[in-house]
Amino acid sequence: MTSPFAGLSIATRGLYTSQAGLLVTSNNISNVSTVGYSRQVVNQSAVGPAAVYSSNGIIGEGSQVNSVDRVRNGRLDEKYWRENIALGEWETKATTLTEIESVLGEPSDNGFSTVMEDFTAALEDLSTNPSDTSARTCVRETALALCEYLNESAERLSELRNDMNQSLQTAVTEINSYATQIAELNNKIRLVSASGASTNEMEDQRGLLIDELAKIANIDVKQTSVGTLSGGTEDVVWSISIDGHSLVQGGKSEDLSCYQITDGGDQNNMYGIRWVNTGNDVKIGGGVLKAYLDLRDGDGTDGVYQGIPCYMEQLDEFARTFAKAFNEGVFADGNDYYTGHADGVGTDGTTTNIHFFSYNETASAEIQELLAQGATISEVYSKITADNISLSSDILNDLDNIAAASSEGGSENNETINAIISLLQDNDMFNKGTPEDFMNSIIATLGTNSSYAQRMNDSQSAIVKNVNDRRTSVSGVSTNEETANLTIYEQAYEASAQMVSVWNAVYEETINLLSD
Amino acid sequence: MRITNSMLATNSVWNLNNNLQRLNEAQEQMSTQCKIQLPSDDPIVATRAIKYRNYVATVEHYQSNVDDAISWMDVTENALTNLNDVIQRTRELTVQASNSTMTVDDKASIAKEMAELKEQTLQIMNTSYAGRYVLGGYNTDQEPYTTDDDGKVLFQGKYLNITGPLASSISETDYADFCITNIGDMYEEGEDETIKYNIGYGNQLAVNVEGQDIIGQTAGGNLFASFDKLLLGLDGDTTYKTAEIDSSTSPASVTFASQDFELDDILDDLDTDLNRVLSALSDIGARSNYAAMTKNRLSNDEITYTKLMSNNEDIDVAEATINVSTAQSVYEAALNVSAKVISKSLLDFIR
Repeated sequence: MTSPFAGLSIATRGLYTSQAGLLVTSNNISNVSTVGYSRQVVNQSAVGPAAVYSSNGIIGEGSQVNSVDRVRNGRLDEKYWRENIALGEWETKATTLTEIESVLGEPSDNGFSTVMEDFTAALEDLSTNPSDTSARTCVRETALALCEYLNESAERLSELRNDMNQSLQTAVTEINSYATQIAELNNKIRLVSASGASTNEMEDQRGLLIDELAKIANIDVKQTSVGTLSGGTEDVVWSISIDGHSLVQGGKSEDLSCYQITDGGDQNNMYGIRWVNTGNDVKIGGGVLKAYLDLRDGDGTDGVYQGIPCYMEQLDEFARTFAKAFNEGVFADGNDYYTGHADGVGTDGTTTNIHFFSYNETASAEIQELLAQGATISEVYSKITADNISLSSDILNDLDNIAAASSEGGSENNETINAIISLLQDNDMFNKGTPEDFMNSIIATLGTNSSYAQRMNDSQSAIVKNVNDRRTSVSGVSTNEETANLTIYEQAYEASAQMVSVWNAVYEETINLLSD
Repeated sequence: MRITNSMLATNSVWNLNNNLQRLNEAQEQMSTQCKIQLPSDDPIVATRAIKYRNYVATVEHYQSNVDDAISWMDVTENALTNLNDVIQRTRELTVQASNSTMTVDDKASIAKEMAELKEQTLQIMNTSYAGRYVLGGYNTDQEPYTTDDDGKVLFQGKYLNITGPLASSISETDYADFCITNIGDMYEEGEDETIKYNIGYGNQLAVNVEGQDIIGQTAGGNLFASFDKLLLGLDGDTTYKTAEIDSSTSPASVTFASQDFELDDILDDLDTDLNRVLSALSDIGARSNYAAMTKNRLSNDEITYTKLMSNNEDIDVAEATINVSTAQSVYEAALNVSAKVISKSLLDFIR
């Protein structure tokens, strides 16, 4: 015999279940724009008949809410993290390389080619007016502009490199902060699920943190089941590692630290990254960090990425070889092909050995002394970098020291300047051609690298977007769906409420009959 | 596939962004009139652009050099033509003076004109262009031909005809002293001082003619020596002296010799002088022609390279305009659709 009040109890259960449904729906709708939120669904089931009191327990006892679950696909998360690592890397490379392109300023009216054209035009002018002071002034000013272009480019590249170094430190701080937060969440989730409460929101939060972390470094996320918690849920340990070294292991996190490299090598005074607990260097294989390291350290040799040092080195080589050829007529291969500026004489017809380009405005006499002491031309010119190339103080102080003439002198003697103009057009000056050709090859390398990075960034963001689409397709809130659910639960609620009043009428009837 | 609100939103924004980017690129191209803004937009176009710009700039230098060369040579050519006239006139006067019916007065007036012709020759040889003496080799800042107080001609500060011709009445001891004092200032043949302008890749054009190639450079055997000889002859002398300096002894020894005036010799000398000028004239004429031809070729080159440069980096305006309007209409359509899709949900229809 069924309990006489079973109907009321079933109706009440219906009210509770549909209320839970309404609440979850409201929760979903209010989180429709919350980042990282996974929609939740009511996991409800029918309550079977209580067979204890009766042999004819064949009627169900209504419905019940088992749990409120979040809808999430772990596989898609893992895919998303993996792809995000590559996105982080190429995104940073694409933006930084674009920045380098704007440093070199080609193609435009204020890039290298314009500066170089102005300089050659001034030299040509001087060749037809060797004694003209205004032509000489023009040569000096355009040469200064060329030096300044190189100085400024070198300086901006080295600033950019320092930026990369600073960003590296920030990124390491971020990793530490994410790792700590994730470890804390792991702890909390474990505690809360042991008590049997819901951890949906915390898990969403953890997922979001890992999303961010994946963009910074090549992390590897693993979940290992180690048993069952007292609340009955599975005890899953989340571990995150970078290059095989554990970063987060359940509720524990390891810190990374930046230290100043002082080995006197190429990366002197830059930051290295190491594990605090072991003191070993971290090998970074992806993410924003890899981009920072590649761009900061890549010198383009032996298949290493062509980062900022590669372009700095090429600019240095340009400055060095150009100055050497212009001053001495000696080309990149070390052979003397032409009459250089130092072989010519100034307007007085006697002053010679003027080194037009030098470093930090060093006087020609000083360079001459170095040569006299037995330094080779290459040794002397190895002191020149794009950062310090300048005109020698002799040229800066006295225009008459510009050596247009050959040793015979004479105000219309333009033999030296003509030789210099020819050498500037000689394909052997650099191993790769004329000054323009060399600069062109730098621009071409940079342009190709940059456009490759942009393409990679484009395709990678499309992939990440795609994965994210699939992820949101599963976990995202759809207001249409929630509205439909809302209607369903509302109707269910109304129906259950109606049932209560029906049963009420039934009991009223029964009790009234009894009392009569 | 389940479509959620955030998917709709991110997809709409993503697509709008893509369309906007396309519109931005199209507009950037339109407003800069350049196909590319950064080398990464198209590395090949970028490097070609640098190359072509360099070509154009170089051709422009060459054009301005050729213009300078042509003006320089025009001035030279003019001077040489004038000099040709002067020598012709000198020759006429010489023939006229040799006529036996000439009176002393007639000779005196011819001598006067002759002196003026010599003066004129000096002026022609000191022709300047933009403040530079074009016939003086490298030393364009000083008059190449000057005279000392006695009317002796100096070329680049050196006596051209210290060894004569001299008047027969000259005091030999005084003149020997003069020679010894100025032994270091005798003109000697020097190296060529050819001024070359760049008028093409590896192509240089000599623009100047040096004074010694017009006047002659051997002492006693040049145009000024001929003038001196004529002037002495017109003065009534029948002989003149030449000096010979032997600098192997110290002090140098000077010996004198007397020569007779021979009309034929003098006319021969003048012919030699004239031929020298004519050959200089034809030389400079040939070079002028070459320069003019080069100028033509350079302007063709400029057109070609400018066209190449423009084809490489400039946009096709019609195409760019179409690109802009296409991008614009696509963007507007996308905006329209997105607005409709995002704003509606089932909620709007539930009563």
